[in-house]
Amino acid sequence: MAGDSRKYLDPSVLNAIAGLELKARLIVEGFVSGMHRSPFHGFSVEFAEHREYVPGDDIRFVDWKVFGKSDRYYIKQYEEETNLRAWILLDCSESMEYGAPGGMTKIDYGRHVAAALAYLITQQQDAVGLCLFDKELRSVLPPASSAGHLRVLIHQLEIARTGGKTSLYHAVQRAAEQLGRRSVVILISDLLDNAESVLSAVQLLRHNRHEVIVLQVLDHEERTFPFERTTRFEGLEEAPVVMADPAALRTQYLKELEDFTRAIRHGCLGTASDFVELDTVTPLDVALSGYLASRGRRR
Amino acid sequence: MSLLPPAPPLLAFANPALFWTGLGLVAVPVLIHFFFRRRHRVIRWAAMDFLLAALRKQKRRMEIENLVLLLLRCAAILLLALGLARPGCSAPSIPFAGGARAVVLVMDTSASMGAVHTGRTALDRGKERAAQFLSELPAGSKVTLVASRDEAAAGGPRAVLENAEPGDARVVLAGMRTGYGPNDLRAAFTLAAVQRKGLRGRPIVVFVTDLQRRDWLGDTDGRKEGLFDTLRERTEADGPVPVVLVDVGQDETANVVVANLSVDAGQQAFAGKLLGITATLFNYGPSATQGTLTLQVAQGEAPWEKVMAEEVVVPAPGLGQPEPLQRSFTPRIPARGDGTVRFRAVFTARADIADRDRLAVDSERVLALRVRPPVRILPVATYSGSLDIVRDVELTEVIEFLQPIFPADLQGRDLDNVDVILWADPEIAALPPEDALKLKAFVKAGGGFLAYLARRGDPLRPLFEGDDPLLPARIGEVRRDEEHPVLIEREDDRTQAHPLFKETRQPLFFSPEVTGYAQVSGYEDRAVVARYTNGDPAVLEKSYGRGRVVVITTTPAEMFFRLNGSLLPAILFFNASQYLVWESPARRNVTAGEPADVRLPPGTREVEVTPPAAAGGASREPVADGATEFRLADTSTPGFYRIVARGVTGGTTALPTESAIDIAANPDPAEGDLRRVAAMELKQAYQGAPLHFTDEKEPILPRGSQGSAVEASRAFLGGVVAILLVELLCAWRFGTRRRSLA
Repeated sequence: MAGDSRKYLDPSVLNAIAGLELKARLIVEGFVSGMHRSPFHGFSVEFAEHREYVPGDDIRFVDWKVFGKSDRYYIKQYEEETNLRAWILLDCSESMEYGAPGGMTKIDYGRHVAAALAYLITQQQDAVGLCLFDKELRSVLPPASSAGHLRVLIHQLEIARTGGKTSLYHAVQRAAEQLGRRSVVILISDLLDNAESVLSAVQLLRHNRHEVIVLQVLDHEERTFPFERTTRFEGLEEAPVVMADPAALRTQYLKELEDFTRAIRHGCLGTASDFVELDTVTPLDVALSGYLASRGRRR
Repeated sequence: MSLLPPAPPLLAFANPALFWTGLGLVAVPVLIHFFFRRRHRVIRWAAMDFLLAALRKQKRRMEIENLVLLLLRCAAILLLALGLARPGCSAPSIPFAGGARAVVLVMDTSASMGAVHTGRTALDRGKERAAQFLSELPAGSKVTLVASRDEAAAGGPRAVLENAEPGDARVVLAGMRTGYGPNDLRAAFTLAAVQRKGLRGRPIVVFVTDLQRRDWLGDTDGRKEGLFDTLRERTEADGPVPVVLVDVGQDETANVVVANLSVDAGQQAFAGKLLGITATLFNYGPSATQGTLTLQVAQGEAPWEKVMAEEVVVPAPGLGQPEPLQRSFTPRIPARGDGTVRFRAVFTARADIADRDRLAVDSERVLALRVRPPVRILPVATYSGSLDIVRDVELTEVIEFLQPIFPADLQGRDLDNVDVILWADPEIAALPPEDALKLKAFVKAGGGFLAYLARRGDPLRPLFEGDDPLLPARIGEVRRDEEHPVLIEREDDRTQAHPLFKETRQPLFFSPEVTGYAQVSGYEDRAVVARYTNGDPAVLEKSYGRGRVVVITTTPAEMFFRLNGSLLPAILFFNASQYLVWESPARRNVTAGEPADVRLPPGTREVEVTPPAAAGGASREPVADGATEFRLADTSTPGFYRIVARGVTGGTTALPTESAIDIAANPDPAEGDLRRVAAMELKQAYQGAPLHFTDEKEPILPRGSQGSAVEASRAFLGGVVAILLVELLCAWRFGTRRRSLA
């Protein structure tokens, strides 16, 4: 089983990422900084020790009681409990089943991305949880950072089946009830829902003070619409059947896609969320390391 | 059942079946349209929202594009069908539409049609083709048969049968024979046009030929039109006429041609005098050909007389263009006659040469010339020693002195019969004013004036100075220097090229030492023909009115200035006497087809033009008052054109006058090039013209509605190209070649 789990953790993927230092923005400071100081010092509960104040220390952490007693400045230091909780929300709707012949389906690509990120987070000794959803929540695995938990998570990914329509807002609304305190939420989906629903879901997560990373997975054919011959398009998720000349529609189709993507990108930008477009023909290591590197630079 | 041809429909098709077939094929794009709608692939698609949105916005445009594409495809096929069906608005533009025909059948009967191939001559093959054509003519058809060369018509074309039944035409056709020389095709076309006018019914001109004429094609620079253009121009005067060219020639036929017969450069034909004539022969065959070249002469209607003959070997062309073989003759022009003469060069191949039957000899060439009488010179001289030189070198070849004792002035002289006045007297003290006026009037009317100035040029001053000078110049003192004589320059280009010095281009040129001459100034530089070595002018010349003036600033007299002692004075005198009466060749002998300008006597009211016999009858044209020139526009038939100018004299008593001018029109030397024109070359040259080509394999008149395979294939190719263009246009405009309505 462990061997099966490793198939999502392609060494070429993980080797490329392991060398990078993933740092979260805003609240969460990074995926790979498990050993570093966390911004959540003041909220941690376990006191560690006092240390004499030196210029440059934050005066908020001066222990005034000790000052009153000893007339000397001491700083309170706390034990870090964990510095990151991450949730991976993977879309398992029927539309994710699409993949060009001979290529990877979107759900497979999403599984790889989810597994890679989960592995990475776990390696940093941070906690990662998993939600699978279509229009409803299908399964929830709370965050934990142990190696055993990772194996369970990957097993969950493996057994995930696609089906059902997409209703992103509805699903995220349900998931939000499970997410608990502020976390990094990684949403992996083709986002083939209406733009308002997608952006409402992101806003909801942001409202709950989560850091949101939206990974939009689309097939290369969906991005380029390369068909030439007259084609009968049978819609997934109960969409109608359409007979069309793709070449004649290509320009308009690509324009619609571009408009949609632009709306999502702007929406994410407005809520200080990350939006990443992934193409199923792009190698996973290239796609993830590129994003993580750019995220690191933003810090 | 009426034998009359049915009235031609407004729109007819040579191949109606093809049209209807094409009309049916218009359904093909529609079927293709539906076929591609049925043939499709299936994809289970996720991003349907975008697809549906795109479809909503594009549907209307796609439907219109589909419709346009469908219509374009249908139109392309319809055009293809139309092209193959060869529609026409009137019957004459369709060579092979049914119904009775008015046929002008022109048979090439030039010598080259006698070339033998596989045991039969080209004419035999042509007759067979023509006979078959005649037998297949629709009932009611009429035929006029023209032989392009007929010895009974002096080698010109002749209508041997007019407006006859096809059966009669076949009988006459069978008896046709080749002539002894080349065709005058332009004359033949003129005759065909005349015959076509006389025919009723839908005309068609059929020309059976071996295509052995380079001038079937026009000049590449467009200066000279091709024979077919001439044919069309003449036959289409009364509406378009389809022309069928039946090629019965053989590419490998050997041929020897007398390509040109011309007067040597700078020479004129003077009655009774010798004339240099050059014949040019070409051999287009594979091997050298030996034979006899004979020069013959004739005046008026008199038969040809042999003048001289020469054995010649006409070399083979080798790999490149054939080299011309030129032979010069110096015949004497008959002294009497009507001012015209014709020469003919005839090549006769040796009877014993191998493969003689294959040798198609277009053996003759005729040169028509106007002959002018000797130059009549009136010398004005008190001292005849000045003219001794003339007598010494026997220049009387072209010169006729008007009287043995020379007058000292022009008093009382009638100048009507004088061509040139020669002022050769060093002693006359003064030119009387009335003589000066008379002399000017003489030159203005076209006379020549030759003057020696030294040793006393003073008397001539009134002619060169003052208003309206004969030649603007001031005559100064005589330069005389026995110690330092001067020579007449020969290096100057103008001197070398000038007709006055044409003989000096020979090595015999020796300028005498000139020890004295009259110094002149105030002349126009361009008037100077030759100078002395010190730069002073030696010979000047200028046109004045219609005449010319030549001034030599020294004299030929030995005792005065030592100009004697070389041939130069004689050459100058000889050349000047001709030059002063010279008319440009265009005024006397023109190339057939080019216009000729003729000077008319004053008071001419009407001209009557009599063309050569082959070109038809005489015609009269009125002339505007005061007109001095008449342009003879049509000289297309070689031979003599006699122009009789009729008018009245001026003055108080108007008397009728009449004077005759002959113009000789000779064939263009290019027409002597009898290399065979490749049929393909001809077809390309006349692409798009109503000209139909057939060779020995195709029938002249296809049965039923069968069209030309070549034209059909061309129309087919055109249609295919049109369809491809439509498809490419659609691919470019719509981004694809197929559309299906969604």
